[in-house]
Amino acid sequence: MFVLIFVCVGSRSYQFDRLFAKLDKLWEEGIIKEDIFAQIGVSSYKPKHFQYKDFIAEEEFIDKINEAHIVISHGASGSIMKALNAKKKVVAVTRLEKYGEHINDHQIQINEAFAVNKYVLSVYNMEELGEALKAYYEDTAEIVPWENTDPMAIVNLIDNFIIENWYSVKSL
Amino acid sequence: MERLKRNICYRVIIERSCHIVNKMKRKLEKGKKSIEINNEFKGKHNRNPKICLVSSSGGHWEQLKKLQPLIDKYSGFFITEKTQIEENAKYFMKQTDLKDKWMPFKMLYNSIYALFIWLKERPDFIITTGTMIAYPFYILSIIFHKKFIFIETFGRANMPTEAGKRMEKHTDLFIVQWESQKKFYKNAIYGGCLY
Repeated sequence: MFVLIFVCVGSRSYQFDRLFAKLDKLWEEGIIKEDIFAQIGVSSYKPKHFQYKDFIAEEEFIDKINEAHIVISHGASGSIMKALNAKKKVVAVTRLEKYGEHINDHQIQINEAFAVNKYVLSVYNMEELGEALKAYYEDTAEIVPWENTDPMAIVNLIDNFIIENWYSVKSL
Repeated sequence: MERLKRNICYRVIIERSCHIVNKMKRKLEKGKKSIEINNEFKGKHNRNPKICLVSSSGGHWEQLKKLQPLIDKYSGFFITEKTQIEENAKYFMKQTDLKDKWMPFKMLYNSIYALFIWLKERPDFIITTGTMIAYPFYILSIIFHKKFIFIETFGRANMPTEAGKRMEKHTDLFIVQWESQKKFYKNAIYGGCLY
C-alpha cells in the first residue's frame, strides 16, 4: 500500500514557494491525508507538515518515485517522464515567470503537451491543485497510460545518418 | 519399425528444442537494445567516428542520456552543466540561462572551455538535445566542417525553442519529437520519442 506523495521541482536555482505553501494548506484542510516527501530546490518557504530536502541524488529520486503513488512534479519533461515510465499518477504544476519561478513561461507549453494527451493532470493555478489530487483520490481523473512503442527510433535514425555520412562513398 | 518411429520422434524433439533455444537467443539479443557493430570499413574512413553529446541539465540531459547506445557502438563522450545533482558526464560547463546577469561571462568561459574540449577530443559528430550550452559546439562544427545533429526537446509541442531557431540553419539533421513541431523548422523530421 503506497502512502506517499513525492514532490520534485528540479535542479535549477529558482524557488517554487507557491507550491509548498499550497501543499501545507491542503494538508491543514485535510485534503491531503498521506505523507509527503518533497525536494524543494532553493525555495525559501520551508514546509511545516512534511519532510523535505533541497536536492536529492539520482538513486534516491528513483526510489522516491517508486515509493510514491502520486508524483507532483514541476513542468519539466525529465521528472514527469521518470514518473510516467514508473507508471505513477502525475500532477504537473507550472512554474510561472511572474512569480520569479523560472526564466520564462515555457512550463505552460510542457504541461499542455502532456495534459492534452491525457498523460498527466496539469495545474496552472495553485487553486487547481486540490482538485487534481481529489480527482486521483476519487479515481475520476481521465488519464491515458504512457507508452513509447519504439524508444530506439531516434537512436536508429541517428545511427543511419552516421553510417551514411561516415562510411559510405558518395562517388560510386 | 518401432525403433525407426522412436528415432524420428527423438529427432523431432531435438529439432524443436534447438529451434526454441535459438528463438530465445534471438529474443535476448533483441532485448539488449544494442546496435550491431559494423566492422566493414568500406567507405571514406577507416576508423570509428567520435560522437560528442552535449546538453544542459534537467530534461534535456535525461533525453540525451538515451543516446548512450551510439557511444557504445562508436566512441564518444558526454558534456552537461554542473548542478547540485551529480551526473555521469566527462565535461561540465557552467550552468546559466538568459536571465542570469553573469551569463555573458559564463558563456565566454563555456566557449573557451568548449574550444579546449574540441581541440582535445576532435569529435566527428555533435549531437544535442538543446539549450544554449550547445551553441559554442554548433559554431565549432561549422568552422571545422563537422556534422551537427539537433534533437528538439520533448518538452515542447506547440512552439519552437530559442536554441532550435538559432541553430537550425547549419544543422545537418534536425529531429523533432512531436509531429506538431515540424511546422516550425524548415528541414525537421519527426523521429519518435526519446523517453
